[in-house]
Amino acid sequence: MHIFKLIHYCLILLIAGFCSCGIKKNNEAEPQTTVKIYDNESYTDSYEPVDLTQTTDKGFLILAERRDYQSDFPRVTILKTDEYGIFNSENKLPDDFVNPVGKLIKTPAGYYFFCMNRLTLQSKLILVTEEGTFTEVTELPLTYPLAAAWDQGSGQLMLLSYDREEKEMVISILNPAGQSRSQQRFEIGFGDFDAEASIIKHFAGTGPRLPFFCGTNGEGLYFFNGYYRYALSLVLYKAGTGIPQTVIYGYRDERSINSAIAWDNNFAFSKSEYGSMYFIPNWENSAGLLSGSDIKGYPIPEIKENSPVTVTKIPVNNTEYVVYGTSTRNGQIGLYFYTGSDKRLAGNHYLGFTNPYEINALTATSDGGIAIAGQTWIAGRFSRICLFKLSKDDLSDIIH
Amino acid sequence: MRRQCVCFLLLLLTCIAHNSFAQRVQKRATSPSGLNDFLDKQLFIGIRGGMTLAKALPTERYSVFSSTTGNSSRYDKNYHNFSSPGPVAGIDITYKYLGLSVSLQPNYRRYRFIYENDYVWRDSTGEWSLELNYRQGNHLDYIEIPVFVRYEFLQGALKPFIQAGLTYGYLFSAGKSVYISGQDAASGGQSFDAAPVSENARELFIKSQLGYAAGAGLSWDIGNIRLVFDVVYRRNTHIITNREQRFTHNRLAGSGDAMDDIKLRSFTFSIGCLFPTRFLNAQYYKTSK
Repeated sequence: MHIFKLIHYCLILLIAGFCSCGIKKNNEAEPQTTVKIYDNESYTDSYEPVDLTQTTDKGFLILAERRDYQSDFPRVTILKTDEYGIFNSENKLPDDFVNPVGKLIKTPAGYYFFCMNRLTLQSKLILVTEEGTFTEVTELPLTYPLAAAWDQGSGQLMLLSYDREEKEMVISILNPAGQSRSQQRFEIGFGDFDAEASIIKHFAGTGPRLPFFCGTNGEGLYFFNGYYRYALSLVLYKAGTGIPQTVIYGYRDERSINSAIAWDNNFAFSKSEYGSMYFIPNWENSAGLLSGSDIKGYPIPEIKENSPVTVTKIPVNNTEYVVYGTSTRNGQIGLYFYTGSDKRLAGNHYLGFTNPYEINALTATSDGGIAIAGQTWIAGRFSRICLFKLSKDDLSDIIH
Repeated sequence: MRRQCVCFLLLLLTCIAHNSFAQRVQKRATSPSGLNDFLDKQLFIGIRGGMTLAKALPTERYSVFSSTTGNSSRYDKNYHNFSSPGPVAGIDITYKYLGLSVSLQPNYRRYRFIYENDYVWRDSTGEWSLELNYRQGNHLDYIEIPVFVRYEFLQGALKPFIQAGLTYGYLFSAGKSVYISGQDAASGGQSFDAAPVSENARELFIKSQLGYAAGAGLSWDIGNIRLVFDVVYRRNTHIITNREQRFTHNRLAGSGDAMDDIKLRSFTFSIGCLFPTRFLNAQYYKTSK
């Protein structure tokens, strides 16, 4: 009888031990995955993020466009959140500051971005603090800012802009004070297709939003996606030469590269051909003039027509993956993870439900996860900023 | 998962040990002189069923929505407490000694609770607006193993009693149904209802639930069976929301839903029918004092 009693009490103690361990772990747990939608109760306001970056306090800065029914150009706003995506502050720039362009560039001195003076159409360089407050650094004599990037190698800012007088795409290398270090100009060309009209419609929001971007591989090779000789093209050139080393031609604004990152002499990019999307996770740069249609890619029919694509490289479990983020036809954000080496699709993941969701920016986080800033339409009608954060464990589960 | 399997195995062994222990203290009375001693002890086995009314007590509130105007309380959920009955069914193993009993009552039970969110969007003039109501029905299905100590006040056929005990619950299923309705004053003032969405929500809650309970009831010996009516109030001791998984359910999070940290409170109303397992011989046929 004593043995039975002993077994009985031991088992009860063991069960209690098992249960209490799991419960204690849950009580102390904090979610590493989060979803947030930033709402302001307004019927007429709409928001669309441009870029996001993680701050040193693990929170996020989100650069966004803000519109109401009376806006002509989109105005500029900066959101600051904590590490769980909980809203901290919103700083609205004056109404004459319009058209913010990505990227929101993280530098040792702070966070920079460019926007446009609504009256002069010239570019403004803005410095943002960790808390999301801003200072105008300078206004530059460069009209129509289109895209910006950070040149890690030289510690300079890159700005792609459009010179309407000369009909040229302009790449300017600037120091963080906004002083020009060098400049390269590329003619947009003339022909039966009016490239300038396409750019103006992009700015005014009356035409398709075009995939302008610029960047560098960090080893002296610069690139931009913009109009070059009649077509929306990806142009690669060496600093100082002013002559393109490689051009991947598109066709008008109907066929083009629409996202790219570079490392060494390799690129990962996506291309859009008459509404269809293709991923090219690893392409080795070969100098010369090429047509985008000659570069083979993986067709992804589930992607919404003319949807913007963001591409970046992210380490997961000590392996680098090329990650594409885009918007699917059924209103979700689609993430596609490719191995850079053998171009294999290692996993994909979809975010969002009920309301439509679209992606605008994606960044790696300090804890090994990723954060995604996008746009959702609450109740199918109110355009708001959303933030997804996926943890390192989430990424490990996605990749197989 | 492995931990839960081990837990169940241990619980099973505990029940076996408990029953074995109970069987070993049985004594067969063989003469009228031992009648009183014999009737002081009894092992009842039976079934019980009933309903439970639950309350979800939020200890910390969360939302997918984050207000940029400082009006975050707008997203707090409005809970409907003790309003949705859920079924309870199980077995009852009660060992009685004099007026005291120890009762093991493994059961299946469903806790149900409802919460609502109301959202309003207006333009600056107040002329255009959209009002939305999200009504979320939640149900949690547990296999629960409570152990009660019961004290009966009186002797005779009708015996009121009080009881208190500890409970362990294992969540094996959970679900949510979302009903969306609203009033669209901007498009002409029509009210509307969207088709409900039902989702498996098991990942949103932790598997184990520990708690304590207290209640009162009445037992009624009719012939050779005992009927038991009781009401028990239960409190779980910890948060049952899976805090790590709060935002991982894509379909629910995508529609704007995130669980608060909640604890459960509930009333259970049940009826049991118990059968004694120890009998005197036919001449002194009796089972209980």
